[in-house]
This record gives sequence, structure tokens and C-alpha cells, in this order.
Amino acid sequence: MSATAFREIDASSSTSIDRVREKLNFLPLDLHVEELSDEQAAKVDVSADRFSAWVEDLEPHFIGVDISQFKAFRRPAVRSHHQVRTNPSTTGNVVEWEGIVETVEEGEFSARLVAVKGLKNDFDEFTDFDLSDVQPGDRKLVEPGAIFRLLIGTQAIGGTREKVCNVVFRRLPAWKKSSVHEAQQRLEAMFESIEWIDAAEAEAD
Amino acid sequence: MQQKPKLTEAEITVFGPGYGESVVVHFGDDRWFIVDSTLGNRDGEPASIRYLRSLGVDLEDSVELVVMTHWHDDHIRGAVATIDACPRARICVSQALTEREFRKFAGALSSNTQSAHGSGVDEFIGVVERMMMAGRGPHRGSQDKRILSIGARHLSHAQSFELWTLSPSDFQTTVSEAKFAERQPKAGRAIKRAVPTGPNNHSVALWLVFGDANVILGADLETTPDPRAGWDSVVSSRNRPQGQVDYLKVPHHGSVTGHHNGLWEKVLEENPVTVLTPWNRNKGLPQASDVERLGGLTGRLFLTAPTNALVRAKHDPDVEKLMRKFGVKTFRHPTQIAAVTARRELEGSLGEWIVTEWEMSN
Repeated sequence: MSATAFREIDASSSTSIDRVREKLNFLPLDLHVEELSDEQAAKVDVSADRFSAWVEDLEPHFIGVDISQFKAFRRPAVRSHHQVRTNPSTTGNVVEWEGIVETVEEGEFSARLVAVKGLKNDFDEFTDFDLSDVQPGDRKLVEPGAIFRLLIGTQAIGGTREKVCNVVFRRLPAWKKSSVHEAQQRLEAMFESIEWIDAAEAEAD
Repeated sequence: MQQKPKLTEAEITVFGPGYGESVVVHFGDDRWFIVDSTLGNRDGEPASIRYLRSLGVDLEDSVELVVMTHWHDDHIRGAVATIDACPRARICVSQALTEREFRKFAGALSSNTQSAHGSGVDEFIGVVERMMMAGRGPHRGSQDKRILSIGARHLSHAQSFELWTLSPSDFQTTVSEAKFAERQPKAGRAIKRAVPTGPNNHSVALWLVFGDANVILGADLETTPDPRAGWDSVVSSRNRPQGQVDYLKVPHHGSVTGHHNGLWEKVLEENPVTVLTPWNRNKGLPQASDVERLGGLTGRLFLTAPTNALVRAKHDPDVEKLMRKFGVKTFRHPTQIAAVTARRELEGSLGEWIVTEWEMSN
């Protein structure tokens, strides 16, 4: 489940979601806006455990838990075909691609896709999207190199099967200074061990 | 093309597109080198390797050099497979990709493990690993550097052969350093994958000398506002080979940014053989105006494939039905890689280039 899905559902939901969000202050929603220190970066880095905890905390809301009243009730989820969860339910049948934004211009973006679920392709796919295909809250994330998921399929949502299609931008963890430095040192050491030959080995007359 | 060229023939075969563009060159006596890589499928064998195998070329003994003109794995995907298939081939990369800021840039990007597409520099890191190996004699390609020189008496066609790198210039390398410094990933900012953006002026363009015949393989080198870089720098140089060129692998897919009037007026012979590979993304290259411009400059223009030759990607019927419902269309490279081969007799008086267009089935 991504932060994007969270925001989509938030738009048609109550303010209780905002309280959940406040509790979950490690969500990497705006990492691209300002540079963080290494310590701050570590805080917002979403490990698998923290991500699972977030999903578990968030999940009750989708089935109708009003945490402002600490009272559970079931209600039909209101989701359009634009509001599919990125981690589909086990009853769903979803094909999923990971996309990379290559270029953005004139209200469109071009992307390269790799099937990651439901297809076994040995080729990359290419497509273009209108920016309007992306949820408003995600549009600021659309820039070259950004990673997203394209999901198409049928899912059991609110007890009924629906056909769904969504473009969901991933809020990736931030670059960590220590990991970056380590990788740079590793490549630096590799380069230092190269013995360059900078003149032609002449087999001349 | 299923027969080897004669020992006394030169051959230049240009592949693409699939993923990327590549060139194989025979310079006599079953001695070859390879430039860049083209793949038909994501994990397939590079077209150059398949082609040489189909000719019966002994890859271990006969391929002497692999040149990687560009760093991004969308462009050099298959580079590692190419190098591994040719264990005695030396490796040449752009000087600009060996400097400090690029090393930092590539190193940082390599720490991205978040994407199913890879980091964007995986292929380049693989090339660096191979350059560390003994016997790979790695070269840094830069302006006016001769990296192969074989005297006439060593080749049965009795023509000398030289291979020069024409770019990047020292100035361009400095400019590229600054660009890579600007693009360094910053701690705390969201991870992104490397994608090709900006000019390609650190590409390695090549000049081949077969006796009195000259060839330019233009890579993705473009024309820059500053004459100390790009094609201005190549054309005005007094330290490169000075002959007239009668074969051009058109730079940067025929784009107007890769065009240089001085190259056509001062360096190329009249009516040269020109070969270009299309680029199938975005609006595509070459544009109709590019083909018209090039067609006005030479009567011997060959495209390896039509522009915008991407084909619809096919999926299971259920998936196709859903994609239609939501108006999603995806495309892929054709499975057949197209190529243009030019051969020329080198023994005695130099013959004309004989050009063949063909396709490699998957």
C-alpha cells in the first residue's frame, strides 16, 4: 500500500484519516522538497517492519473503523476505478507494471514499463500518459526517473468485483548518506585498480 | 548476411534499434571490433554477438576491442554480455566517464536497489568490473587519440588500419564533470532512477582509417554552442586524421542537434554512404525534416529501420480486454533487429562500399 493510495482514499473520507497520518509521522510524503540530514533521513526511511506497521494501522480504516470514536462499523468502501490499492487484495486479479518516467512535456509523460506481477514478459514496454491520469496529489512526483506502478485488473472491493486501473507513484525512501558514500567508495576503489592504456599498442611498420 | 567478409574486405554493420544501437567492424584478416550493444529482448544475446557467431567468427580470438560510447544502461544494455563473450577484447570508454564527478555520480546511483528496472548504472558498473581484469587494457576515449594502429604489412589487404577516438574534448570532459556534479543524488531526497537526460556530448565518436579510406562512426555526439566541444571541436581539430570521409554513421539518430554543416562541407566526401538508426521514443528520430535534410546532402542514405517502428505489446486476452477498457496501450521494440552492412574490398585499389539492408530474426 502506498502513501498515494492513502491520499486518494483520504479525499473521500473523514478527517479521522488525518489523525492516522499524524500518528504515522514517518511517512515519506515530501522528501523531495528539502534536503534532510542523515539522521532525519534515517527517521523517514521506511523499513519493511515500519511499512507493515503502517499498513496494519491503516487497514482498519478501509473497512470502516472510525478511530476518532474508537468504534468499528462496516461500510461500503467508496472507490472509483482510480482508487485501487497498490497491494491488491488476495481475491483480486491484478496485472502490475513498474514504470519509470523518462520524459515529461506538454501535459504528458513517457514511461518505460517492466511487468512485475501477472505477466511474464521478456521485453520492456513503452507508453505515454496524460498527467490527468495521475491523481492530483501525485503530480508533483512526475519527473524523469520517478518510479510508479501501473495496475490493471479486477479486484474484490467492498464485496463486489470491480475492474480497476491506476497509476500510483511510489514514495521511495530517501538516499542515505552512508549508503551513498559506501557505494561511491566501492566504485572509487574499483577505478583505482584499473591500469589504463592510453596509447595505441602499435603493430606498426 | 550469412557469409564472412573476405579477409581483404572491410565491413561495417550497424544494428538497431532494439534496445540501443551497435556497430561491428571488420578491418581485415578476420579481425573485428564492436561498438556499443543492441538487444532484441531484455535479456537476450546482443545482436553483434549473435551476428558474429552466425558468421562463424571465433569471438575469443577475433574480437579485439569493445567500445562503449555512452554510460546509461538504456544505451549500453548488453555491454557486459558483449565483453564477456569476447574475453580477449580490450575495452574503451569515454574519458568523461572516468573522471571524479562521474565516479561519484555512478557510485551513488548504484546504491539504489528500489527499482525493478535496476539503478540505471548497473551495466556501466559491470563494464568497470571487467576493466579491472588483466588483459582488458582499458582505454579512455578522448579527442584525437589513436587507440589501434596496425601497419599495412600486418594485414593481408596491405592497407594500414587505425582507429581514433574523436571525442570528448578536454573542455567537454570538464563541462560533463560540472553536469554530473549538479546531478549528484543528495542525502535525504527521494531515490530516483537514472534516466537519460541532457546532451550526449561525452560520447565517443570514432574515426577509422583503412589506408586512404576514412570512416566516421558518429555515436550520439551533438553540436554544441561552444566550439571547444561537440562537432565543432572535431571538425576544427588539426590533430585528428585529415583525409576525406566517405562513410558516416550519422550521429544521434539523424537529429538536427547532431548535425554540423562543417562536417558535411569540410570533412565528408561528396555523396558519402550514410547510415542511421532510428530512436523510437517520444516523438522519434529522425523526424521527417531530418530525413529530408540528410537526403538532400547525400543520395546514399540508409536507415536500419523505419522511424517510430515500435509495435504493440501483446498480452493475454483478458489483460488486453482490460487494457482496452481503460484505454491503455503499450508498445515494444520489434523482435527483429534490422541492420545495414557495408563491405568494401581493400586489396589493390580501394573498391566502393557495397551496402545491404537486412533483418536478424529473433
